[in-house]
Amino acid sequence: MSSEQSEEFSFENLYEELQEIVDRLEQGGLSLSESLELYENGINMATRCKELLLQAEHQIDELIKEGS
Amino acid sequence: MTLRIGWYTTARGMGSRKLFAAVKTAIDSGFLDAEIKFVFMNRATGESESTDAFIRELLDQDIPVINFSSVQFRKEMGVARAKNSDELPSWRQEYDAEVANLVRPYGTDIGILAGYMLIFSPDFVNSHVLLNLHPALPDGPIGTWQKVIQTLITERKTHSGVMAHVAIPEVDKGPVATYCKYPIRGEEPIDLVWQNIDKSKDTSVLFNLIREIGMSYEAPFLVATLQQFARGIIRLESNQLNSTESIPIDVTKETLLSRGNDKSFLKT
Repeated sequence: MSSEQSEEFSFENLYEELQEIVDRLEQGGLSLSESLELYENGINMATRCKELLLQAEHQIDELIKEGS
Repeated sequence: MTLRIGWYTTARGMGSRKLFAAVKTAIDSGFLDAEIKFVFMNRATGESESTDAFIRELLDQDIPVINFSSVQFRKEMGVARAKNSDELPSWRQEYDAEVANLVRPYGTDIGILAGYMLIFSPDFVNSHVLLNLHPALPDGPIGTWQKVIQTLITERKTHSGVMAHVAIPEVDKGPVATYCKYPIRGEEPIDLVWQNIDKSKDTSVLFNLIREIGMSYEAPFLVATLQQFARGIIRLESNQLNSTESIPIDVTKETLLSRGNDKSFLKT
C-alpha cells in the first residue's frame, strides 16, 4: 500500500469522514434516499474505524507481551 | 424551452445516483424537456470508489463533470474540520465562491441538490436557484428523516409525502414548489404491520417499511417536479416561484404515472 493510500484509509481520516456524515445527518435537509445513503456510509465507516482500533489494540497487546 | 439543470452531489452511494438516473432516463426518452448542463462534485478523482464510479458513468454519457474537492480545499487553507455548529466556517464561503465561478459558464436555470454533502453558504444559496427534496408533506413533520418517520408513527398518520422546495439559508424552510402524497395506512400489508406495533410496541419494521415506501416515490417525484418547470407551469423569476396555479403544486398524479405500480419496497 502506498503512503497516499495509507493516509486515505487512516483512522484519523475515516473518523473525520464519519463525523462529517453524522453532522450532515443531524443537519437535515436530505431526502430519504440521500439519508439512507449517508447512513449506510456511516455504518461502513464506523465498522472500518472499529476494525482499525481492534488492530491497534492487538498490536499493543503483542508489544506488552513481548515486553513482559 | 429546454430546462437547463445543474446537478450537485457527493455521490456517496446508490441513493443519489438513482435520482440522477431517473432524471436522465426521463430526458433521454423525451419525457422531460431538459438538459443536464453539468454534474458538480465536491470530491476529486481518487477520493472515493463510489464517486469515481459515478464519474466514469457520467463521462461515458458525455455529461460535463466538475470536480472540486472540499476536503483538499480545506486542507490547503490549513483549516481543521469544524465541529457541528449553526454557523458555517469561513473557508466554506470561500469554497462556495470558487464553486460559483466553476459553474457560472454553464448557464443553468435550476440546480438540484441530490446527495450533496455540504450545506451551501447563504451567498451561494441566495444567488442560485437550488431545489431540495424533503421527505414530508408541506404541513408534515420537519427535521431529520428519523424524526419525520417517528412522528408519522407516533401520530398514527394515514399519509406521508415528499416535497421539493427552493433552498434558502435556513435548512428545510424554503418555499415549496411541489409535493406528492402517498398512503402509509389503509393497504395491505402495511396495515398488518401497524396492527403488530399495537401488540409488540416494536416500531422498527414499520419504520423501515415507511422509509422504503417513501424512497420509492422520490425519483419519480423529482421527474414530475422538473416537468412542472420544463413546461413552464412553475416559473422562476428573480429566484421567486411563480405559477398560474396555486403553489405548491400537487404532482401526486404525475408521480404515480412515472412510478407505476412499484411494490419493490415490499421485498425488504
